[in-house]
Order: sequence, then C-alpha cells, then structure tokens
Amino acid sequence: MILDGFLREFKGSIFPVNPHDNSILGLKCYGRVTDIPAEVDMATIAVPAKYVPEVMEDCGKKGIKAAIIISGGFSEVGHPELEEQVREIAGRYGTAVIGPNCMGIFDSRSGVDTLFNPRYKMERPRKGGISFISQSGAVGSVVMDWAGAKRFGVSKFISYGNALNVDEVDLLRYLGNDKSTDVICMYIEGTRRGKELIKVAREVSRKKPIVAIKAGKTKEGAKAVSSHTGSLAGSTRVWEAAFKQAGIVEADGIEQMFNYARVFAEQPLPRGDKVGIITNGGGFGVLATDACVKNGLRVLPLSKKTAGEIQKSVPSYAVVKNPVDLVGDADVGRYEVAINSMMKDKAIDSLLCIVLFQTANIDSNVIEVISEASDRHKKPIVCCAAGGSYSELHMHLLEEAGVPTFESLKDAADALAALTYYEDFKRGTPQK
Amino acid sequence: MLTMQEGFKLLKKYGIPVAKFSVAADISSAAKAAKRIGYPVTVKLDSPDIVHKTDKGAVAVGLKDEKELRDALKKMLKRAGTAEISGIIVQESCSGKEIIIGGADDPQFGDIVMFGLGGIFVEVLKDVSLRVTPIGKRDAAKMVREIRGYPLLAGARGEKPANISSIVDAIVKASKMVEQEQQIKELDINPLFVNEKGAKAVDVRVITY
Repeated sequence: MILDGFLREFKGSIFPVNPHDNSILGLKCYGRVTDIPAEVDMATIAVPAKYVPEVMEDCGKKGIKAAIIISGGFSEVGHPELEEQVREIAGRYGTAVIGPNCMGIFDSRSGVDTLFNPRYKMERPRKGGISFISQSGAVGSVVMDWAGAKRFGVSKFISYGNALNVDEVDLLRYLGNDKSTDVICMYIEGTRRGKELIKVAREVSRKKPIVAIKAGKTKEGAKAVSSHTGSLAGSTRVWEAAFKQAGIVEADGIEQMFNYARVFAEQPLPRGDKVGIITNGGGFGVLATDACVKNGLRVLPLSKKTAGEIQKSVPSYAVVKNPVDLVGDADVGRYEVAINSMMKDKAIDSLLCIVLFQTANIDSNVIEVISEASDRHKKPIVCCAAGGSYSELHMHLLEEAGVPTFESLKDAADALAALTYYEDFKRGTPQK
Repeated sequence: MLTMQEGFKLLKKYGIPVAKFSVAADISSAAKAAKRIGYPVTVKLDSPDIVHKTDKGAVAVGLKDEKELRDALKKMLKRAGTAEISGIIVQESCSGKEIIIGGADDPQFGDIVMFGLGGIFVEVLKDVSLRVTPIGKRDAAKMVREIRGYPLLAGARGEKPANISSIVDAIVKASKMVEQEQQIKELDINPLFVNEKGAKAVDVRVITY
C-alpha cells in the first residue's frame, strides 16, 4: 500500500526491500537494504517491530540519514526497551527518525506519501500552504481525508507517533522555516520538553500562525499537591497558558482548526478588534453582534462619513448602524455600497458579511462584489450564509473565490477572533 | 519547608519587596521590635508545625500597643502548645488589596507562576492566571489583566487604583526566583498587600524538594 502511494506521485527512484520477493508492483525487490545498488536518501520501514532494529542497523550501514518507522509495537504497548534499542542505533548512525507507531509523511509537492490508507477510501488533499503535524496517526489521516474532500490546500502532513528522535519541537522549527508552509496546524497530546516547545513556537509564531488542538486535557489531572498554586494549576490551565505564551491559536476540534487555518491562509490580519457587520436580515445581525462580543471583539457605531455614504444609496427603511441591516429586499447594489464604505472606514478592522440567499432580490453577482472588495482592501472579510441547496451552491462559490464562508455565526465570529488574537500576539512580539 | 524567615530572605534576594519585619525569640524582644517598627503591628508564630497560621490562631493583626501585643502573644503561645516555634515574627501593618503570587512545577512544562487576588477569590472562585517561566513583563502584565477580579485592582467604585506595575514586577521576579532556586517545589506568596504605592509580601510559604 505504501509503495503504491509512492508510485503514483513520487518522481525519484524507489527501491522495495523484502527478503521473500523478487519484485513488487513491477519493481525489482532487494533482500536487504545493504543490497541496494545506489545511494538512498530516506527509508520507510513497515516491518514487525522486532525486526526494526536489524533494518535500522542496515539503513545506518547504508548511510541513510532519514527513516520513517511506520511499525507499531514499541513503548505505546509496553516495549520501551525495543524503542530504546532503535534510538541507540539511530543515534550511532545519526539517523533522523519519524515514528515509530505513525502514519509517516505526505508531501503534496515531492509526492512522498507513506499514508497506508488506500486512495479510494481516503482522499489526498490538493497542493496548498497548510501543513499539519499530528501525534495521532488516526486523527491525522481523517484530517487529510477531510482536507481532500473540502478542497483545502495542504503542503505537508507529518504523523510523528512516538517521537523517537524527532518531536513536535523539531517539526515546528522545520515548518517555521519551510517556504511552502504558510499556516501550521498541530494535534498534540503531550510534550517531553514544554519549555522548548513554547520557545520555538513563539519564534515560529512571529513568522506564521500555528493553530493547535490539545487533546487529553483532563486525562493527566493536577498533581497531588498541598499549595494553592499546585492545586489550581493542573494540566489544562498550564497548556492554555503555554499556548498564549507561544502565540498558538487553540482550536477546540478538527473542524475549528481547519476553519482557522483557512482564514489564516486566505485573509489578511486585521489591525485591531473592531468588527463591522452587514446583513440582509435583522435577527442575524443581532446574533452576529452577540457572537463577536462573546469572543472579545468590539462592534462599534459607524463613523458619520461611512453612515452618510451608505444612507445615500439605500432606502430609508434600511438600518444604517453597526450592524448595517440592508433588510430583506436588499440587492447586490446595496451590498456593494455597504461593503466598500465599511472596508474603507478606519474604525473597522474586519468585516462579517451575512448574506441570506433565500431573499428575492439577491443574486450570484454578490459573490463578485464580496471577493473584489476582499482583494482590494487589506482587511479580512468572512461570510455567513446558511440554508438549502441554493444557499449551499453560493457558499461553495464564495469559498472558491477565496472568501471563508460559514454556516454558523459562531464559527464566523470565532474565525475573526482567531485572526485578531494572532495579530495581537504578533504586534506585541515583534520579529527579531 | 522553609521557615518564614528563610522565605522572606529568598524574596529579598530576588528583589520582591517584603513588609518590614523582625524576628524575636520571646515576648519581651518582640515588644522591643514592635517599638522599633512602629505600631500598629502584626505578629505571627513561625513554626514548621503550623501550616495554616490563621486557622490555628497563630496570627494577630492590627495590634495598637505593647499591652495588646503581649496579650496576643501569650494567648498564641499557649494555643501553640508543644509545636516547635522557630521565632516570633513582628511585622509592620500593611494596607491595600491582598494578592497571591505562587509557583509550582508542572510535569510537562516545568516551573510555572500563578497570580490571583487573595482570600476567597483564589480559594472559592479560583480566579487565577498562570504562565510557564520564564515570564517577561508583557506576559506578566497580561496575567494581571486576565483575572476576572482585575477591575478591583484597577480601581472600582472610585477606589484608588493599585500599583499594577509593582505587581508585574513581583511576578517577573518570582519567575526568576522559581527558575533559579532549584530547591523550590512550590511557592505561595500569600498575601502580598498592594496599594497605590506598591506591593509588599506579608507571608510566604516555600515547599522544598
């Protein structure tokens, strides 16, 4: 399965190794790694755990400096001694190891693909700027499948399993310097070097956003301690603090992680926390305001100039405050005026645009108006639209135009809050 | 656990302001110390056997003169019974809001520092903020603003605002202290009194490895 993955996209040379076969999938098969008649850059090892030391020894002799050990059966099931043995071999030969007990790597550019789930069951995402590192292989593969289905652009996926001698800190540093990665996503359960993680993540966050899911927040529990500080700290609060210090944007699950990654990849950062809201349904404007304020964002009155500009072009029964309610008979022209006036307003840092496609006078041209405004002004804009198949079609069109669009107001407000949070970190922690 | 005197010494070493105090061996020298410091004073028994001093009646605050001091100490020593007493602490009276700065060791992140408003805010409402060391000024300032009770420090209902930068300073120094002093397992500076002028530590508990 892994070999099949490589054969599809990978352009370099591939050497299958297996003592029982002469050829696999039409390629000549070698009995041992040391039999390969060429230099090898990387080995992917998927043999039963007990044979891994021997194979690693061969890789070392062969001068291979990087290995991915897919095999499980090490410290995660009570065999730390076997893992230690492999670590010793890797150390002796200077081999960098991803895994063991992992899915390995998917790189949309080089075509390296060790994910062993078949393609008809698990899609591979298209090329893009989002990279994802995951301590869990299962979460990682679901995310990749999902990213494929949702047409998110992915640069690299790395499932690092037991982190033999390459851990999340090394991978963050690597992706921080990787030119094809714009946003780093991360699924993490625990760390062996928390202070290093904060230090490196803080440096990386100055350059590009890191969005992380922390799993197992309640599992560890607070240590049994006698002081106030000890009993109040606990694992969850410490992780939250660590993320704040590192500028890491915390997501509460896979869906939110990708929502955030998408706005980071597609939208500029806001200059501050002031949101402008446009709607063609009053109630949605109120809900959007609540969702923004709950997230610590501000929804302030429009400047006189902006209000005046919009007022001139809309009927008297439209409510020109913030939110701007263009009311149920709004057409594309009203949206165009409101969006562009608000995008120009210095007192507005980001825009949440609600479009109820169910209304009579709205049509598909609103998408061009929104995406043009998004391209022209250096301010983030997210949309909210919900409903049946007609709305769904337009949501997809908006997303294809590079405007993050959400069904829920909470998701839209959360996304703007994530941008604002990260901008605040970046501003307060200038790049050295 | 360090004695209170050792704890105060450690705080001073790192520049965390400590309320003026003196250690006396008996009631008479406590009276002399109080005269030097100036009434009103607070007296406390420094004892490794008494962890929660207030609960055990080992603290008396706002003593106005020598008579009050002698009476209070007599009762206190009687109550202490056979507990080991390493000294009597005589301390200047402080005013302001009570805050707490603490330190602990996290299994994954190592040293951490916690901040909160003292009393029920910490014990009942768990209104605290924390960070992993090392903690710089900006993060310390965020810790102070992050607690829900922050408006009480910033000056609610016409009160004078507490000296926020003195709190920030104390947090940064506590961070240095827990990082550099390897023997510290847990730290509670509880309370520090903070008013418009600055912050002063009034009690400290250091649990060592």
